[in-house]
This record gives sequence, structure tokens and C-alpha cells, in this order.
Amino acid sequence: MIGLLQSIFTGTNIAFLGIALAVALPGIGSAKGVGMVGESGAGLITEDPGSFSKVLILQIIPGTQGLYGFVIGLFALINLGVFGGTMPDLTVAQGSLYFMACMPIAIVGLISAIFQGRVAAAGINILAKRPNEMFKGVMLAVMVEFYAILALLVSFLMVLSL
Amino acid sequence: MAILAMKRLNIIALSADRDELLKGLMKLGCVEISQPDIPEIESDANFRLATDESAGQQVSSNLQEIQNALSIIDRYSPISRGLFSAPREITVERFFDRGRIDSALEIARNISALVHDISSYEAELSRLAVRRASLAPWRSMDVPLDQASTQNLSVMFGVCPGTVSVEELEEAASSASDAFKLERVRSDNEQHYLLLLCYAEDTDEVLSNIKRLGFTTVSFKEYSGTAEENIRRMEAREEELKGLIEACKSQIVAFKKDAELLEDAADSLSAELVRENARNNILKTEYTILITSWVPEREMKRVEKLLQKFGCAYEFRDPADGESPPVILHNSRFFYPFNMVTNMYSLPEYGSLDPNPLFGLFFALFFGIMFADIGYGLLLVLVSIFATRKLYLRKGSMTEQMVMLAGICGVAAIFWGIMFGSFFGDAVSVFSENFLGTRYVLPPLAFNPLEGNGPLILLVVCLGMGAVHILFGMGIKAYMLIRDGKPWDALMDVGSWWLLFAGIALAVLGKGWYVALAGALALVLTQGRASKGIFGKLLKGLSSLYDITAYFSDVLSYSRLMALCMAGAVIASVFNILGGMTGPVFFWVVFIIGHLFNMGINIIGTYVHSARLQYLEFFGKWYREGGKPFEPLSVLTKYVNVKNEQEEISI
Repeated sequence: MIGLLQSIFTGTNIAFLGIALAVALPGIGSAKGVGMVGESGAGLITEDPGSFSKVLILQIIPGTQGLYGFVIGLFALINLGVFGGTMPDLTVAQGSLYFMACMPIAIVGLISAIFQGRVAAAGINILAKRPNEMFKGVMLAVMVEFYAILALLVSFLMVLSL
Repeated sequence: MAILAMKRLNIIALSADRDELLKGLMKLGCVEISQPDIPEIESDANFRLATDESAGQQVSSNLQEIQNALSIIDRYSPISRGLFSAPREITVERFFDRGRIDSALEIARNISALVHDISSYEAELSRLAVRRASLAPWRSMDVPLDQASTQNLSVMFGVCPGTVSVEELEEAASSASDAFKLERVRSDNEQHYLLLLCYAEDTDEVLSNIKRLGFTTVSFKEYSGTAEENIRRMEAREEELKGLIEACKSQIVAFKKDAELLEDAADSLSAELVRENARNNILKTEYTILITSWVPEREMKRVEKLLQKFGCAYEFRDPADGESPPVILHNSRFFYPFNMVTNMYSLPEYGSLDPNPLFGLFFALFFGIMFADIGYGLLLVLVSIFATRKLYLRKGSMTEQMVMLAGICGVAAIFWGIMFGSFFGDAVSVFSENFLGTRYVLPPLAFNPLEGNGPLILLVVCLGMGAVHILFGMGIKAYMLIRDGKPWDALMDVGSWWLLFAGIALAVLGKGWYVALAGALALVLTQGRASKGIFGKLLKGLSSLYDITAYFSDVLSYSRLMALCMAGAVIASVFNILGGMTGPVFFWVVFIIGHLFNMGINIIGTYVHSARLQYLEFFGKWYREGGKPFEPLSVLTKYVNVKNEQEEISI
């Protein structure tokens, strides 16, 4: 039993779990956020097909967290030397560090994308009722993004330091 | 440069001249008619508000009709209109030509009549479809639907549920009569369609027997001839209707050649509507009218010339206390695009300061440091130059301001890109290392934010810029207080803080805490001066020291500059690495898509955060918002550009 656990929780596995979460969780959040905006946007487009390009701007806003997670995941893989074939066997302590470095963007990316999606979906209402004020809706949604950027930055600096 | 000075203009003119005068003011485009607020005149000279809404309603319904016609033409044959193509030029005479408007209205009515025809034809089509479907099962029956029963013979059509077999019906009927004919015309999933012939005298009994099994009679009174004949006739009529609809549609499409006339008329009518609405704010007696309005001081001459032409009595006067004149910001070409940022917040109060020249440079610098990249900046500048040269941008529109702002911010991004040695991230070193064999690094003029203690230096630079920004904002507040004749307030509210900040700086440098203590003491002694009682004053003064945390968090807020700067650079470099792994050809694919994407997601965030630092941290210190925008009576057109013999006002 302990042997099994030891073979599962190797340093490399823990690091890869972190990387997987860094890509997967913000991806889930972004998919949910973009999906929500898309649903309400589709309703508006049935009324006013000309608003398509503006709906699209609002829709892509919660999509960036997925990219941030991807960036961190990729950067961690590069840093580990996965692509160069120079990947060392990590100790459990080293692997845990990679795991922790991935956590800020994994957690904040997931949650901020969902909240940003909600703000952006509400922005569709602004677009429907006052098309000229649409940019204010964009500004409100972008405000949520800032915290994902902070998480991205800290994750990046942590991976950089390893 | 400034908020334009306004004059109050009161005009008394003859009622007969009203429409021509309003038209003239509209052409000038620099007079805002405001609600009359001179109660003494209103009561003295029997002036009353000229609220006559029926004329306005007529104009707006005409406008509606023409806009409808345009959208109908557009539906059947889309009118292509470039997003950035210049509107047609049209002379004033043609624009206001009554005859052209009337013929446009005539066309609009024709079009709406055609649409009405189409919809009635379509209604008939769908009625026919229903009737045809109800006759379809009887198609194979060669008995005329209007076959009348004779004195001895009853002829009836009917249906019964499919669950009952015809044999069961026949059995039920045979118990009532010994001579009848029940013919099955057709059966489908749900029911049988039957023809019943029987002696007239047996009819009631036969029917009551088979009705028990679910038989119901169907009446075809309105038809003549067999089902087949009727269906043929309906099909012919359907073809005819479809032809008619097509004819109507092609007639509508033929009106496309008059689309320009309709557009001109729509613009002309909306101008007329503006004029009609303005009339609601005009006081009148039987023979005269009184217009109260606002005019920018520098346009007085032009307005005067017009008023003298009409022989009006008028007076210009300075705005009185308590009046809030509308606000126009007048700026040089460089600071003009920042109107976009100011408008999104709120215009400054009349009599305060125009913020554009004060925050413009900071805005560009902040935008630049967050977007710091030579390549990205160059792209912004190129897009801006292309758009201003090649596309039609309506003067004073937000699009125009956005395009010009992109150019200014692009230059700032290039500046910071040179400072940080960033050209599409680290594209130069990645490309040269992977594909040229030797690693060539673009040397930063200042430092590289992603290397060594770069992030820390960047953070200090950002917070330093923030501190300067905030101190400058406080300086503006002091200036405004001194200008308004309150130098002591300036000294106490701004001077004390500056003394405290200077003291803290000195203390950090190891020169002791005396200056800082003096500053704090000054705050405690002065900030409570509005409160009552010695304790109230002291308490308020002490609690003002707590505001130091607000200044602290204001300065920390500028760390967002660092965060966005680095996030952009990180994503750019990851795309470069990704491209570098794919080979020399595919590198460019990843490079182009990746960097366009990075620019796209960064540019909105960068704008928003740069604007936010102005709105909260900077404007919070001194800005007096709440000015209402100047909305002169003018010809606002959608499709055409009215050529004016007079020069246009340059706002």
C-alpha cells in the first residue's frame, strides 16, 4: 500500500498534477464564462444581428484566464525541460514547489473567469438597451481581469525562481 | 486648452420669423436653446411656453415612415454602406427642399402600401394552405363536394377515428337501414374519410347509430365541384399570389434607386424634429418670441450677424451665480483625443479646470508602460495613421478620438519598449538563437523587467510615477483653491500633507522625524477647523491623520502598471518560445497569431487601467465633475454631410 502511494506521489507526478490543474481549472472557468456571455449574446443577436461584433468583444473577455493558465502550464513544462528531453527526476519537495507555483493561476483563474463572465453577460444588457454605452460594460468586466493578471504574474515569478 | 467661456443670450424676435431664425441658428450650430428661467419676464409680459406638440408629432411620424421605408428596401435588397466611407455632400438648399421631402414621403407611402399588399397576399397564401390540406384526403373522390341531397337520397361526407373499422360502421348502419352505401375514400393514421349515401327517410337513424361509434359529418358548403377541381383551383391561385408577391418585391427593390432621396429626407426631417423640439423651450406672446440660450463667447460675432439680419432685440450677458452653463472643452490637436477619456467619466464643472492637458501625458505614459513594446507600439501608430488618412472619421466622434489616442499611446509604448528592450517580447533573441545560430539580445536602454531584480526596479519606477501623479493632483487642488481666493485653505489642506510627506522622506533618509512631526501637527491643528467645539476640532484633526493610509493605498495602486507590463511581456515571450520550438516557417504563424492575440487582450485592459488611475487616484484629488455637455441646435445627420457656406465651429 505504502509502496503504491510512493509510486504515485513522486515529485514528477506532483509537478505534473499542478501543471494539469493550472491549465484545466482556468480553462473550465473561461469556458463557463465565455459560454454564459455567448448565451445571452445569442439572444440579443436574434433581435439585432448587427450587434454581432460588439457581442463578440464582450464574449472573449472572460476567455483570457484559460490562456493565462495555458501560459503558466507551458512555461512550467519548458522550465522542467520536458521539450528538451532534459527533464530530471524531481524529489517530492521539488515537485511540490511546482505544484504550489501553479496554484495561484489555477484557483484565481477558475473563479475570476466565472465572475467575469457574469459581469460581461450583464454587459450584454447594456448593449441591448444602450448600445452607445457598451464600452462601459466592457470596462466593468475588465476590472475583474486584474486579479487573474496578478495570479498569472505570481505564478510566473514562482516558476521562474525554480 | 480650456473650458470655453459661455454667454447667456436672450433674443426677442417676431413670431413670424421664428422658423427661419431657428433654421439660421441651426446652420450656425453654436447656440444651445435652454429652458427659459426668467420668471419675471414670464409673468410681466404675458409670455407663455409655446407648447404645440402636434407639429412635432407630424414630423416625427413622417420621419418614422421614411426610416421604415429605408429599412424595408434594405431588407429586400441590402443597401451597402461602408462603415468608414464619407457621407454624401449636399447643399443646404437641397437639404431643406420641401419638394424633395414630399416626394420622399410619397415613395415611402408607396413602399409601405406594397408591404401591406405583400402581407395580405401572404395571409391569403397561408389560409389557402390550410384549406388545401383539409381537402387533400378527399382528392380521389369524384363526387362533387357540393353534391346536394335529393328528396329521397342523402349524400353526406364524414370522418371517423381510425380505431373503428369501416365494417363496424356498416354493421351499425345496417341495423337502421337495409339500403345504404358507406364508401371509404381514404384512410390515414388517424381517421377514415367516408362517403355515406342512404335514403332520406333513414338518414337520422343511420346517423345516430354510426355517430355512436365516432362518426362525424363534414360539411363542404363553400366548395363547388370535386375536391380535385378545388385543389387545382387553389394551386393556381397560390401560383398567382406568389407571382404577385414577387412583383411587389421587385417593385420595392426598384425603389432602391431612390434610397438616396429617402436618406436625405430622413436627415432633413430629423433636423426639423430637433427644431420642433426646440420650440418647446421658446416663450411667446401673440406677435413675439423669446429665446433663451447659451453661446460660446468666441462665437458671439457670428450669432450677432444673424440676429441683426432678422432685426431681433438681443442681449449677451455673463452667466449669473447659480446658473450652470454647458461645457465645451477646447484643446489643441494633441490633447483633443483625451476628450474620450474625460467624456467617459464626466465633464468638468463650468468654471473649473479642463482636465485634458493635466492628465494627458500621464495617461499616455501609463498606457505605454503597460503596453511597453516597440513592435506593439509601432502597430498602434501605423493603424492610427492609416485610419486617419484613409477612413472617414466623423469629426468629434468617439471613433475619431479613439484612433488619434491610439497613435499617441503607440508612441508612448514605443518609448517604454526601447527602455525595456522589448520588440514583440523577446522575439529578437528567440529568433536569432533558434534560427540564426547566435543569440542576439536587444539591449534595453534602462533595464529588462523580466530579468534579475528587474521586477523590483519596475515596481519602484511605477510607484514613483504614481507618487508624482498624486502630488501633482494635490498641486492642482492647491492651485484651484488659491485661484478661488482661498490661499489659506490651500496651505492647510495641501501644504500640511506635503510637509508630512517631505518629513517622512527625510526620516527615511535618516534625517530625523522633526519635519514629519510638524506636518502631522499641522494636520491635527487644521483639519478639524470646520467642526464645532475644541474637542470636535481636535478629534477631526486627529482622525485626518488616518487618511495617510488612503494616500498609501493610492500609491500602491500604481503597482498595477508593473503587473500589466510584466503580464504582457510574459505572454509575449511564451508565444515566442512556442514559435521557436516549431521551426522557421511555422514560427511566423505562431508569432503572428500569438502577438495579435496578446495585443488584443492587453489593449482593452491597458486602456481601462490607465483610465482608472486618472479617475480614482488623480481626479479624486481635485476634479469637480458634473458639467453638462454643450448641445447646440445643429443639423445632426446620419447619411449626408450638409455643405455650409459659413465656416463650421471647431470644437
